[in-house]
Amino acid sequence: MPRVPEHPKRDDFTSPEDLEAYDFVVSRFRKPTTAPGDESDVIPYFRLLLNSPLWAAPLARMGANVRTAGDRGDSYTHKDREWVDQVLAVAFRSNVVQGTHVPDALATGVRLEAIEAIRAGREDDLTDDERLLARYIRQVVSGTVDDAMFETIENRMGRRGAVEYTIFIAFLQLIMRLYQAFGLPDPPDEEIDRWLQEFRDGTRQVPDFRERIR
Amino acid sequence: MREFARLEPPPSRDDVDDAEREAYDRVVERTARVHGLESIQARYFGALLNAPPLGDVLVRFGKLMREGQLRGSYTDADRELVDIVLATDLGYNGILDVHVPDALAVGVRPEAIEAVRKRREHELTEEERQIVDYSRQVVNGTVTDESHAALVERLGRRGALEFTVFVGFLLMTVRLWQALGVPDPTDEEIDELFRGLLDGSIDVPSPEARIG
Repeated sequence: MPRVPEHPKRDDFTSPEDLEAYDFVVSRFRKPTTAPGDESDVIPYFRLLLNSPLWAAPLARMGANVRTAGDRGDSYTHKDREWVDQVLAVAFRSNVVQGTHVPDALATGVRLEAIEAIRAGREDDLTDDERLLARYIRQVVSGTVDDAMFETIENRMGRRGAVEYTIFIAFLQLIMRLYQAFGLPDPPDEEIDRWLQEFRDGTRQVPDFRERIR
Repeated sequence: MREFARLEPPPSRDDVDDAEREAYDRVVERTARVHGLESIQARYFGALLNAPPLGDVLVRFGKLMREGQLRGSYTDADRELVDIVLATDLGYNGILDVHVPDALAVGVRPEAIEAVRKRREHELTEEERQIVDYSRQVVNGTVTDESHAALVERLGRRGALEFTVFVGFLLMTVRLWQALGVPDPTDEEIDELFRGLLDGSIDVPSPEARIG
């Protein structure tokens, strides 16, 4: 059970700043086909954050920025981004974001074998590029990046890409720690293994990750 | 002070796409006004200028995190104590250049700063220990129902949520400073700064100096 109750209704807020932030956050998630005022598209994490619309809004803005970087062509790719979710899920021993990000990882081109390998600790089965990024991701969240590694990442995705990728990694660390602090559901490893098997045998379909790029 | 080769000078305004100049200018304006362009902080915000829209969001996010007390949420002293805790635990002094002075300015006890930095935490008050322990739980992903309920008791539902987000934000920030190679003062330099603030040879800033 989440430790934070779901958000109060919009009418419970009175300050213009809160109301503006509230509307912004809800609009970020509303699908074009959903009626105004219907908040059912807001994901559980943001429903909790809406206890403080003002604090929720910058998290939503950050999310929009880091998710769309892959569309620009001068930064990290969507696949690079989804790989971070896979690496940190293992590093933090937490599946809190996997419900969305196992499917999205596959949808953006992360190899199913790479997800299985990193989850099983079989790093030899990763490609050089997957291993490089995994190493960098772990260095960022443990505060151990060095000049040589940063230069390697910069050579791979450019100066802007390296800075943005670093920001995204640190931002995902923040998100995952918030999921955990708020007590959001953390599926067991067996469930993730089952999904992976279903993707492998075709009984579970890879979604359109673009639904979440906004 | 440890310096790192990977932290290059920020891109010039002319190098930035027209569509991103407004964001670039906002980052530069606040950095100059709040920290000064020669500060350690300016080196961090300079790195963010490689990605002006993201840098702009981060700057506005940080400004909001500093307004907890102003908005009736967690206090400035709660917030500044977390800075001392995370800098110590994550092994990075870059943020202490500002946050040791700011902590004293907003009323964090000097003994509490010393206790956290020198690992003498039995000298903390119960209230300080709650902030210290909960911050560590957020950083390590180990918040419990009990510790969260105790924080709600102290700060209210909204305050507890905002404080939790703030701790996560600071975790992100420290890891970014480290990864981007922002200079890292030595423990001795921070000790000297701390002594200077206590004996009056260095001025303690206004509590509002970096809010806004």
